[in-house]
Amino acid sequence: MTNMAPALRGGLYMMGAAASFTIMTALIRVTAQEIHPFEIGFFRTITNLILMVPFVLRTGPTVFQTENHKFYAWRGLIGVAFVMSYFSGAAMIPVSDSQALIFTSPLFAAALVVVFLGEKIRARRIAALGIVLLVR
Amino acid sequence: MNLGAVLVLIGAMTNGASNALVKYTTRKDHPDTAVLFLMLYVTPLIALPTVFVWVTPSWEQLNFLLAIGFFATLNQRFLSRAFAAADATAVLPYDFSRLPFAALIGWFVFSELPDFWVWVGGAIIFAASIYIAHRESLASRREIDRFFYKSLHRIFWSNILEDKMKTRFKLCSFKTCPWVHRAAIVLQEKGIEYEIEYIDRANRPDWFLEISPHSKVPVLIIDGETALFESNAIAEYLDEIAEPRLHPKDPILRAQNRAWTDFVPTFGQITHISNASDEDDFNARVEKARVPASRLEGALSKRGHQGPFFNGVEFSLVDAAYAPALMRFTFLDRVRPTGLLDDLPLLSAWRDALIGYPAVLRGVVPEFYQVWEEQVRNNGKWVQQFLPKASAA
Repeated sequence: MTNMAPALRGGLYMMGAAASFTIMTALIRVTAQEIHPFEIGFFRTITNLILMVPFVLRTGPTVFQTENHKFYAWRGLIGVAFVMSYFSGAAMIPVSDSQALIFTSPLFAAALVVVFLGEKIRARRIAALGIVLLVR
Repeated sequence: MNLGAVLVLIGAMTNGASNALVKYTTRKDHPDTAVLFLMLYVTPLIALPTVFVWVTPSWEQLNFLLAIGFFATLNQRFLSRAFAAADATAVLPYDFSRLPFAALIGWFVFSELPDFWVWVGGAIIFAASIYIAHRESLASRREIDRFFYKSLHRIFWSNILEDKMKTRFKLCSFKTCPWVHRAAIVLQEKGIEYEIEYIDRANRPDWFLEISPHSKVPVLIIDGETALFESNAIAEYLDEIAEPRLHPKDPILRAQNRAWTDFVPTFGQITHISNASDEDDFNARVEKARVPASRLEGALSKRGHQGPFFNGVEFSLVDAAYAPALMRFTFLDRVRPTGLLDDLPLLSAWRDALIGYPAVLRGVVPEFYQVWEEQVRNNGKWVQQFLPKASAA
């Protein structure tokens, strides 16, 4: 893949990301028939931690060095909110519906800033968000 | 809207916030550190509610659970590689593939066919995101980035964000240069932090000649990568990016302000009086400076207000443009009186307001008068004989 144009290589990775996210969602939808979405989320993070072990061993103890614990704690909180809401929601609606809805992620990132801080935002973005709400 | 859709939307919201955060954490810490600590914090938090709904999974269920974790991790790795490989705007369109993927999986596994409106809605939402990503020019993307840092900083008060949200300004200067002084006044008035790099006038370094087309100062270096030259362009740029706005809102007033700012080079000859070679030359230079000075007095008399500044009570870019020349002229006028401002009361009053103004004083080094005096002495022109003898020692 190293000889490929960067945009195409990036695009293939992106398709890999999209496919793995969609497969994950489908698996959640199947598993949630018998196991609560929160428990699925718990196993999801445990698995991720296990899979990280080789990377942590390769990097060594420096991987634990950071001055930004408060920041990571906040991210953790947001991460839990994601796992709880998305896993629960994905279990309830068709996979294609949830994937269409997840496209709104970047728009919400912009909207969040407005909601939290009451800052001005470009008309374009508001228009795009308007479209999202209309479509739903 | 059904509950599932609402929950997924909340998921999209938190996912967006989380993805945005990833982008801003990985630069200082090791990339694995961000993921590791995310998981270390999430695990106990998700374990808590899990206690209440716990069912010990069968081996078959465990396979599914591990597969979910595996694909989630795979998704993470793919995403970071995608964004590392190319610009977000280049890779984002490929994300649309998730809709046909989802349709395929939905059909095979659940026998669900997506309805027509999901395709339409998904396409519109997707197009909106792509459109936004493409429409932002490089400069405005930078602004949005900075806006994001700032917003995040306000939420999280994280020290890594603090230095990222600031634009770093460096002003290249010769000592005592009035044109640099003007840029410094604007920076001071707006409360923008900046550093100054002094350049040897007689021996201008190569890197400087590369960024300054006519090898003059000031040059404003932004974030160590972009260089702006010409004091007027710098002042206008600074006025556009930071509060308080120093230009008047009214377009006509603004145009007049700009016109009078362009008059500075003409008026600036009052600072060249100090270069006089003898008394006759000195008097001739003073006479010559009288014309632009009285033109300026005329402009001040037509303002229709009492000052103290060019536009009234608000300090403006015109004030920043004239203050350096007026300050240097005043030093000279004290050493060897010119009488130039004697019958120009409005200009005199304006000058007094400007040379005592905090931003003007902070725009130069604290011992600026001594530096100026030394420069006049070193120039060895006619006026240097009037400098106080005491400080010569």
